[in-house]
Amino acid sequence: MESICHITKLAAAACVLTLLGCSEPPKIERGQFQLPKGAEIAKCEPGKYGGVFVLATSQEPKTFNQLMASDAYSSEAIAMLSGQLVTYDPIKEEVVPALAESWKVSQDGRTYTFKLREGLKFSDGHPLTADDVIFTFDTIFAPQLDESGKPRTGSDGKPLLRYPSRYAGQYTIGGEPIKYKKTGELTVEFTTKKVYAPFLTDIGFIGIMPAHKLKKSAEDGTFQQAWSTKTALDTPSEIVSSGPFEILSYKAGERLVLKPNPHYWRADRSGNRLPYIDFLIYKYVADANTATILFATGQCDASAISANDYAWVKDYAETYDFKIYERGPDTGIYFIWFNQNPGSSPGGVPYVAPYKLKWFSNPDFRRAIMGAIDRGGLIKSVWFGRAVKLDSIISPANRKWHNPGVTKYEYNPDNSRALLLKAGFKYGPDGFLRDAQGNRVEFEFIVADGSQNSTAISTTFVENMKAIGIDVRLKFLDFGTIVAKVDNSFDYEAAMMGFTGGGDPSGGKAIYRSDGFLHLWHPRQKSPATEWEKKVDEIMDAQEVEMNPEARRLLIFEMQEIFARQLPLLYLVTPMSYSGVSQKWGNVKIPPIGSAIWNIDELYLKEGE
Amino acid sequence: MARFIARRLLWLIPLLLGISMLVFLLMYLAPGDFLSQARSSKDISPEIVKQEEERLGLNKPWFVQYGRWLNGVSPIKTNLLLPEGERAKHPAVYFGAPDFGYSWSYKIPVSSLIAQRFWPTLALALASTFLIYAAAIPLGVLAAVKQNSWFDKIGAFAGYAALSIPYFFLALLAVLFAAVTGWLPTGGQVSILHDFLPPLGQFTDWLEHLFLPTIVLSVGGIASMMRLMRGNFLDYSRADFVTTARAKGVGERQIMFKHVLRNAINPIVTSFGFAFAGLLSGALLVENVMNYPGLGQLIYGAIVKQDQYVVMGAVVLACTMLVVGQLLADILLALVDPRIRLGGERIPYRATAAICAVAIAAAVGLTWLSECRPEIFGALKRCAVWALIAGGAVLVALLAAGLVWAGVFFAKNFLPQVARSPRGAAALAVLAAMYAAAIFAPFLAPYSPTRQCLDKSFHPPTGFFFKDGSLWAKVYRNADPSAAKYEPIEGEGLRVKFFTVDKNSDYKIFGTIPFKLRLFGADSDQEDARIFLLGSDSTGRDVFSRMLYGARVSLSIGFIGIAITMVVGFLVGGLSGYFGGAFDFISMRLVEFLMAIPSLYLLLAMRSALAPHFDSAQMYLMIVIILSLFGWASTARVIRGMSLSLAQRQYVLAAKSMGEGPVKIIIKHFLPNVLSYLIVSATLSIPAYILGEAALSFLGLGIQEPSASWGLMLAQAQSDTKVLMLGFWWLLLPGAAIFATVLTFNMLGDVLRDIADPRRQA
Repeated sequence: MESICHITKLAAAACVLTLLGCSEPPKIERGQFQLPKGAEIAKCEPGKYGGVFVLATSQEPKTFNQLMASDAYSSEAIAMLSGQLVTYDPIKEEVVPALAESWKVSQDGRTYTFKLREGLKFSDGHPLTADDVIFTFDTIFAPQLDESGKPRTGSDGKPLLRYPSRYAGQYTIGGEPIKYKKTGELTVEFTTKKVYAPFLTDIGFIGIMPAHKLKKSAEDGTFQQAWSTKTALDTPSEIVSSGPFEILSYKAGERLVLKPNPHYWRADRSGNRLPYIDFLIYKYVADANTATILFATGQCDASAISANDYAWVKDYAETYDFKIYERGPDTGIYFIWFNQNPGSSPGGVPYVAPYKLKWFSNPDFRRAIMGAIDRGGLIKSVWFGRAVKLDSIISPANRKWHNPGVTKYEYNPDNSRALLLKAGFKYGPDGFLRDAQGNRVEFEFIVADGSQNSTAISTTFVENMKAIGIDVRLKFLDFGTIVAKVDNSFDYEAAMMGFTGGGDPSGGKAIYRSDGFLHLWHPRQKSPATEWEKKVDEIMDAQEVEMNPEARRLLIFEMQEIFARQLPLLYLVTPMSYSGVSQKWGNVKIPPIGSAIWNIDELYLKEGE
Repeated sequence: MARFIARRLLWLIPLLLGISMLVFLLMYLAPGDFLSQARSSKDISPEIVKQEEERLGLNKPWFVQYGRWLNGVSPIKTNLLLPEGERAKHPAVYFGAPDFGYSWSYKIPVSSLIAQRFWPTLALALASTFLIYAAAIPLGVLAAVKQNSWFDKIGAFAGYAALSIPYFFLALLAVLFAAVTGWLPTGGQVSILHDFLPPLGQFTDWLEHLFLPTIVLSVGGIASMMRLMRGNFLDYSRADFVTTARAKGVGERQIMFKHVLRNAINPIVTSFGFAFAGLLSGALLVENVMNYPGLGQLIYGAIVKQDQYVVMGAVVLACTMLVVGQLLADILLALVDPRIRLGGERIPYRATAAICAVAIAAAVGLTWLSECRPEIFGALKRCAVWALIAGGAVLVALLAAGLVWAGVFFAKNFLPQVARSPRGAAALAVLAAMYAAAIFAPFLAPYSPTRQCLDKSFHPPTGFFFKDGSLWAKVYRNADPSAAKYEPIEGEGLRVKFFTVDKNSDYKIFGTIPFKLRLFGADSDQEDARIFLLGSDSTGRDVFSRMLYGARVSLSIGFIGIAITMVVGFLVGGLSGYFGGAFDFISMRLVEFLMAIPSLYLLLAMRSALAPHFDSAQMYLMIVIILSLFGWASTARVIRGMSLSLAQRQYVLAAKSMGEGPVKIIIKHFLPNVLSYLIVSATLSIPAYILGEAALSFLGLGIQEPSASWGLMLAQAQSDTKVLMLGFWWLLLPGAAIFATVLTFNMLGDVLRDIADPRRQA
């Protein structure tokens, strides 16, 4: 009993001490540096300085070196630390100036000239010039050298790169790396081999790296380790920023604390340098659920809220003074597909049993399956109505590119049965479906284990298939195993997956094109296996050089219709997405898609909060 | 003493080598690797993935990767294992600081990552150990002093309850408590604005965050320690020296605190090492559910992401701590109890060396075959599989015989006495009801466990009323489909029909005879007229039906598990007690090896290595086998001790001299002597299997959908935050079912122990 008393005493003492322990965060010094000559004056309402903005996320940055970052989460934090030539204004839905105050496109559409703002500086006060832009691109395309100093080439004859980054491939247009050169202290010129329609959003969005900090590591071969999370841990000031914030401190697995970049290039109407916020804290938590709970209980200031959680999070809005914005459908696509790879393993075993391949490659079979999936029921039961049916390979969230008029498939099991009968399948007296040769229709369905939603969808799929006489064996596997099967060993029958989406459709090349490595049902085809895949390839080629935006849009529409008719992917549902932001912040402007706090540099703590 | 310590520390080297190799191999066998995510990402080209593969050495065979890791860790290194580019920089053999590699996902050295995560876990383990001792010793003494008082009885019941509640379920409830009341933080090690607090504030902030995890982690420990303390105290209070002291007129207070307590506390104090080591692995679940950034969370994440070096480093650390904890326990025991002498065991060097040599040669040979002669290796593998199947068949026969024998023995020797004790009778009745429910699940469950009703997700338990002489179930309408709020419709009902035929049932007895009879169902032709006795889940499946089917997994797993552990444990323990010498030495080292493995970590790695090769039903068996693989070690140890002394008995010597073989002696003479112990310890270890399966399923590594198990159902309730926040409490019932089952088994085990060991009886 004694010890219990101790514990209560201890707890009481702890409570009292906490009350004593409240204190204000330290003040941030402002206005010690002059605004650059070319500073941009933001059109936002002028606010006042101060406040701590907290974000909780389950994904930590893997590196602060943005050329080496390969995941969206590293990029998210890095976006606060690095400025890009141009940026995207999600409210105006157009590309706007950033580090570059203007740009010019040549007559033939192949040359872009950017002019940097005057007087730009990195967060350590070192000037940011065209040299830094050139350095960034030099590092991306740095060749791997052998002992004698000659560039090494890979087995395919292409030169090998010294630092593997996602950008080198992306910036190779028409088989050739883009050309770039410094044309003045503040001007850089880029030339592509052929016309590249998404040039601005693709090349203009790269963050500019400081040559004065990173040149040494780029030259001595340690660039990959430069600006790692360890740098942030030990010497955060080494990571100099050209974005709105710079790193104050970082603790792996716990938090990243950012403070304003004192040399940032944006100011408000009254000439006060942005951002207003004193501290921006990323708190790292184990999973998205925890992040949502933290937001709902008022412990952080903004959060994406899934359609799943909306039902309960909204009940806390009043207590903790936040507002939830409906953002429309998610940008991702989610689908089931059948393996249509006709190849065989090195041992001569066909990836898919030939009689099954016959079903899977029959579009009528796929259409019948599609019509038997009760997506409406799923939306009702799992998402409480907060999701929409997905009908196209581009999510309806991507308003600019989504084709709303594609062929759609309604839930109708009777129709599916009729379609299967017409396609030569038969029902036995036992109610099971058999093909013309008398094989029972059954297949294995692999799903990455994890979220409650994928479980609900896959178990519903199994039940739906049972209803039309098809036996589905559900198998949950690690995500890694599924990738190994889909990408490498091809020994599976049906699977479920999703892709994040948004942005320009050229980003989906690897999925749409028959030679793409994410052309899941039959990847890396030497030449298109079907007529319709050939047609898609042609459309993808055509859209890349089509400079007329409307014509380009129609091409993408046509491609979506082909996918909807052929159904290599059976689309599922797209949940609605929501963003919650605490009401204590001013200047919150929620765009139709993208981050809700895209204008974090303009947010300020309202009076009296 | 010094020799003993030195030997134990030396033993650590082969132990760590073995375990690290095992873990490495398992991680290698698990499909996919660290780059899986990158491979499926549409903005990372395959060329980058290839270059990364090269850089991380993932394209090398496993033993080269392991060799590199080992070379890094070892202070004496060789340049032969370095990547080609770096070979020239070092001499053939050189010294260097141990390097545990770096984390691929955090991109910082494993040592600094672990150092950072180690302290929170250590703090948690220390705080829990402190709390356990501070609470359990006084409570145990009090319960013993006031034996059979109300305090003792409540304490005993609370103890059972505390022992029976799964860690992760308790953690879940604690998080819910924190979220609902707002009194304590819901997780994390410090609050978000920690850095801006003054030092004192930082300290209290830290204490606040430590509070709930410590409580959750200590509850089980307090209960078992308190029971141990009470038992010891009672034992010693009946000892001769107490009577002597009383006769000499020593005061009662002095007797209790000076004589009894000091003796009784000995084993408790010395179990510090074990308790501490155990807490480290218990922390894995608690840290994950409560979002506490310690080692457990780090390891779990690293296993999931296949961040090899982090897993390796952490497993080595956890294992070292386990061994050091045990060593500490032994030393403490020797210090406080002068009767115990450490060391003295003779090592059969030659036999050991021979066996080690054979093992190493076999390992090297197999590796060589798998790389250079895959066809021979494949043939060997097929032979091994056949041998395993044959061995498995023999084992199954043994198990069946063992179970039947134990059952008969139990019915003859224990059953009448158990039935006479009220606690025992109650426990038996509850268990009988539970097993009957599981066996007759297809009849008792109103619906097939996979049958959905997408219109009625998260339906609350149906209410009932009487009208016109029959039972009616209320009908509900979804008043707010956007939050699944159901309201009963006044005046509407579904008549409950008993012994109804369910045309949707696809159950077949023994997989052949269709069976469509149900105990009850709604008397309606409508597709979606349902009676949800315990509510429905996210796709409108009946929770009651799923729980009945889930009971089949959760209730049978313990029996199969203990059958394996008891038979294997008995055979190994009995044989090593009988033979002694090298066999004894080797098998006991194997036992120690198994006991030193942080089992949950290995289970995780093993499960992901094996998963792709098995479907859900086979996975069930796999889990039992994995769980029992670790379980037999402790049984074997105790049985060995018992048979060592049995081997010296006259009748055994007589049987030996008459030429009876070892197997016959062991079965005929040893088994009857140890059977009581086996049955009691089997009953007491069933809960471990039930909890083990639940924990694995909870981590998403056990039974898979659409099959049901209690752990899986609970995991789904936990992963879906709205279940807790919108108050769909019926989805937590599987947790209650686990609790009830484990509680009953613990109670039965206790009754059995009292019967088998009459000295213990009150």
